[in-house]
Amino acid sequence: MNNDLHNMTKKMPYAESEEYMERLIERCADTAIAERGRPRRSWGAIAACAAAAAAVIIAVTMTWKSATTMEQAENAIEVAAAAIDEAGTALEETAPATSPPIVATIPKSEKAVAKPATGTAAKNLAEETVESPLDEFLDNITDAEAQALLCFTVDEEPLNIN
Amino acid sequence: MNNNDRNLTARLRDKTTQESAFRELARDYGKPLYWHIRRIVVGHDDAEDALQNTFISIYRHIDKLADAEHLKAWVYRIATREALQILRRHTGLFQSIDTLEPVLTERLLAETSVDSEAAEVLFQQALLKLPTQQRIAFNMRYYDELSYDEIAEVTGKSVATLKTNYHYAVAKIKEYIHENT
Repeated sequence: MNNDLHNMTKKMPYAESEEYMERLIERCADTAIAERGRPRRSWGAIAACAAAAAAVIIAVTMTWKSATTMEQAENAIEVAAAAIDEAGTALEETAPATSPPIVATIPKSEKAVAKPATGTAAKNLAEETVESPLDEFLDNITDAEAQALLCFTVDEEPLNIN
Repeated sequence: MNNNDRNLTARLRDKTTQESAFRELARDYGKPLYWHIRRIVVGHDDAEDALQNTFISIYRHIDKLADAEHLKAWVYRIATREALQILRRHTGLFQSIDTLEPVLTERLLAETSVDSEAAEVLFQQALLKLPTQQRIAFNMRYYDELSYDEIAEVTGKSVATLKTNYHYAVAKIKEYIHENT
């Protein structure tokens, strides 16, 4: 291999600038120093959160099944959302700063995935204001929460609204 | 170990000088570590993540650095482990990281600078055809110019194995370049 070719092969074919590299390295060092004092997420905390989430899903499923009014159903969803939020916050507090977000938000167009209500339920839903807790919940629903809700709504009968 | 590294190691182990010594280590080793990682993971985003994890791990475990241990080999070992962990994230269950070659080649071509020479790219493509362990051994010897003893400290492999790895890597690279020019 002649010298020119040798030098060429030692060069990397990328375009990252020196300034960019220096900033990146400085940022990485800052993060490492800031990160050191933070507690690490333990398997115990993860297991506790998973157990809490499972318990909440079971409780909400049962409440949802026995709900006879839209208000009861909404309450069940609110309880679930609050519990999931708390579990998420607990995990985030102990997660390393560089971890990806605990849950990713999903585009608005993909959010309203629950089975559409029919008959009276549809009428009641149509009368809800935009700021209702249900709408607010659906606006802020995450992928994981939507999946959890779908688990017990897809095959259910329409809600019996008195 | 050179004097600078010996001095740096001493200051890293002293709580009062630890932070400034760590910043110095980041300045000295940041770029070589970035490129070492980038040659393994290929993509810039993955390299950035692995570099960040490397720095976090170095600073978190600085007290575990033994007196007799070579600082350079120690930081390269951490960087190599973090880079391999990033690669493993891209594999399926029970899938070897060696099967990622098409993905890495695609990433190489996507991130190649427009003004890079064709020979540079071809050489990188040839490298990606190598099994990962062979590629890492070759990179550390060829690009980082680490001694076989240092590479042995980083990888935990014997010097004889590393020499064989390097020899086979060179032969395969030459063969690939011959076939594709």
